[in-house]
Amino acid sequence: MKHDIQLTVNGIPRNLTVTADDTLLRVLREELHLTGAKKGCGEGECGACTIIMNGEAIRACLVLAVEANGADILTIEGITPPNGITRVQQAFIEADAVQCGFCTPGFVMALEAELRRNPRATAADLRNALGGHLCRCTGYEAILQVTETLATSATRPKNTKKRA
Amino acid sequence: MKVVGQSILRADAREKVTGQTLYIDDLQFPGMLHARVLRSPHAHAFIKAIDVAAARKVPGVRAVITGRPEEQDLGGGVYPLVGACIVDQPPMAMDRVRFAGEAVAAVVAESVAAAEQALKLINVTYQKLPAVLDVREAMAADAPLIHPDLGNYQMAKGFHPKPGTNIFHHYKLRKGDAKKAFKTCDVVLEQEFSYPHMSHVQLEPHGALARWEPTGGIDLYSSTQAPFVVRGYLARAFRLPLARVRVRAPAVGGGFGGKSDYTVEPLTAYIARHLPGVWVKLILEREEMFTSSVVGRGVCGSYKIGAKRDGAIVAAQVKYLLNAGGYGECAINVAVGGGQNSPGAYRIPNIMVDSYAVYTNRVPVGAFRGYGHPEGNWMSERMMDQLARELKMDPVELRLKNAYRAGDKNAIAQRLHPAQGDLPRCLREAAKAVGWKKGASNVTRTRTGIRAKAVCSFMKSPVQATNAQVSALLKFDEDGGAALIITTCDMGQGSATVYGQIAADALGLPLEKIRVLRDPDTSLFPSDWQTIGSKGTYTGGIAIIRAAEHAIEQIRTTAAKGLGVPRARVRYENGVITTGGKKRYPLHLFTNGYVRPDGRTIGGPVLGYGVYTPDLQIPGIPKPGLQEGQGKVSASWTFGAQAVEIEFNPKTGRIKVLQLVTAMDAGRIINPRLARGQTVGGMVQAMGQALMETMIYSPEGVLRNPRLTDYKIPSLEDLQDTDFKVIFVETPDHKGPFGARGLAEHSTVAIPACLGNALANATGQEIYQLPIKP
Repeated sequence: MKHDIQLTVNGIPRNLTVTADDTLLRVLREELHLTGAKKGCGEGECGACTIIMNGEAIRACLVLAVEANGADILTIEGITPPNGITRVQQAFIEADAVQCGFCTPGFVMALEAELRRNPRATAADLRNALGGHLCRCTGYEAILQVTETLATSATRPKNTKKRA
Repeated sequence: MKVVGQSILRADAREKVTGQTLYIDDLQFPGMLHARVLRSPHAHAFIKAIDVAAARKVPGVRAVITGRPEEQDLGGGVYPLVGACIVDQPPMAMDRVRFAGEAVAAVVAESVAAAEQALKLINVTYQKLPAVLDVREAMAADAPLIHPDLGNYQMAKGFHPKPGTNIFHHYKLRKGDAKKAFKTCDVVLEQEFSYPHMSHVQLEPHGALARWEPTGGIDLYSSTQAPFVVRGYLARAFRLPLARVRVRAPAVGGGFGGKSDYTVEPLTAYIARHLPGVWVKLILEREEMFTSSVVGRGVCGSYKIGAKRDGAIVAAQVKYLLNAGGYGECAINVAVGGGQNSPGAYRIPNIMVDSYAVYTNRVPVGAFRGYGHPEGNWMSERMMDQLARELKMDPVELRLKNAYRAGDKNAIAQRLHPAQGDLPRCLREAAKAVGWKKGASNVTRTRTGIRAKAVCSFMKSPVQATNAQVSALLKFDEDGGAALIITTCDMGQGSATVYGQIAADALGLPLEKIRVLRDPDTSLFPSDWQTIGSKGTYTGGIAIIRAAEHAIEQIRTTAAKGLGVPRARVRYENGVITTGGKKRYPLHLFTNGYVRPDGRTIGGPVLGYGVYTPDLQIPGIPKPGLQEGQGKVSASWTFGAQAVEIEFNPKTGRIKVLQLVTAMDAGRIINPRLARGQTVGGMVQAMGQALMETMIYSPEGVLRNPRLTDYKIPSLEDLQDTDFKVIFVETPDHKGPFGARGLAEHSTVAIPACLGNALANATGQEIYQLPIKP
């Protein structure tokens, strides 16, 4: 059974024909070629497929494409400014919170969503936002460092804010 | 500016944080089809019949493939068996299955959904056979045979199978006479241990993309640590010249040994062979990563230790039984490496090791970060603490008394060079960092539980083929920069970054002038055995330095001819050529031929070539003047010590890990930040193995927890209260690049034993089985 859906993905309106059991993740990756979101488990246990849908961080492997009809979607490709990177991305680089990189887009998107929702998020808020995200390489020390860095810079007065 | 020793930012970090890095499942080709695989529900069974008629009729299905002998026959009864050390596995089960999860059939379709729908319509008739899951049962004389053909398999030199049994290799190591020596000891202790099967849980599942070329060759992409080894397996299995097989590796989303040797490549190539000219993609589901891939560990055994009253260890005897699962190729050398290193990092004059690689009806075992070492360490370091208790000695003092020192001959009779590292210093550093008090109990009671500490030693050497070469190319650009072409796969350990640093300093050029290629291709890149055993920095670094030297020689030759001066007068330093006078010539004048004022060009583009070849012997082959199993079988060791502090809550049984400490002598550290990242990551993996992870089988041999919901690995919440301490003792290596040694796996080795010892200190409860369940 085919369904026609409409999505806004990274600011661009998209009309797609999908099947009833198509996941949003498959459609983003294979139809729209936005491969930044990864499939690590397919059942919402690892977080590697995290994207932002209507302002919320969600696991794209758990959402059916038909459920996303009409949604506003942001993927990691859509948050990265053309000539730079975001504060979250910069913090990951500086803390060396990246090793194999497969889980990284999911972690970045979860923090990105939290900071967009709550610009004054504390380190604890940011850690909570990463609940259920798995990383097998780093041992989380550097990722915890990222949450500290972002919490600090989020609460810093605007004029002294570190530029990415 | 020199960059070796500096915490340069990871070369591929920006690509990765922006989601631009391409992994295997991110690759798509026009006309590409998707494969899905039917897996055996039985651990041991004959395949009597397979009915694929209904599956073929599903819309979108392009091929249904089985592993029946007539379908796998390459011609004249030749089957594509895979292996190098032991050639025992067909790409797909032929007439019997040897583990639950083995590939029995496959569907290739226009979509994964269509392929999955068709899989459900394949009807397989099995005749069940008794499943053997326990390694000791598998070794029993009356055990059902998992490979009745064991005696007929092709095997490499130095392996000792026992046809008519399930033992496919017995590695023996003898030093002195342990049997006699035990009789002279004041104290003899013996204990049985086990370390269960585990999954690597790389976040990226295994996958490959294969196309059978019109000329009869294989073009294949894979998430692999081992492009050249995979090429070899495919060429041998499908009877092709190496030139007809091309293997390329995109970014690898975590390896930890689980993507070395082979994974899904032979299966994907076999499937694609049915649809020549079409790209076929096979990506495993997470469940298949547990049931149908290569898993790790699965060792049990015993450790017997004998010592004098003063603490001098006199003898050790280790039985090391590797429950290798249904096929042997990826496991066979784990038994060798694990056996060699199992006595521990101590000067023990009498050693007896018997290590067995044994077939069982479980998921096949392969390399897993530490390659046999954590298993032996779990035994030897738990015994050291018990020996200390028995002798009423401080456990750190007992270790210091017996620790390997420069000049000692180790278990395999290799003499340790003074530049190979300082274990006693690592022990002292780890003890100091964790706050160990000599002679004290190191146990305190708090309101929330009992706090206890432990300190253990470790050592690790890469277990590698004697011809495990690495070669590097430096291809120079017209502006004096260069591309570094080396196959070593960067699966997150940071080799691309570290290699750039080594190349930059070896050439005296700024880092920005070096491009490190990260997309290995067996047809374009120089040969490199595989990226395993924490040997990348050491072996690849040596090859890079030699390539730089070779390039500089070419530059000097071109400069001498071009400028008309004797070669001996031409000097190269930091990108500048001088000929004895004041004049300084920039490098780029000579990298692509020197152009004289009249336009005539002297020399050609510079291509530096460097190679590392180990100087090693095969462990299982007798050598004159040495005892059984001894010889020059390891190129380098890295020594170190680890420590933990835990808080045990007797009411809840919960273990909170307060401190994880590693003090390691990895020689000169090329990039401290990346080295720390590796070390912390390894400690947390080992903590997961010790406290949480295990593969649980039903009595019939079916895995009960093949999902991340049921197989838990450490999460961020588990590490919020943990303090990490990493100390690098930097005794420069005498051969390694800029004095460096390997360090990537090492921090996994002694953490389980540290946790077991700390729990014993806290509670008096002696645990010998992992994971630790107090």
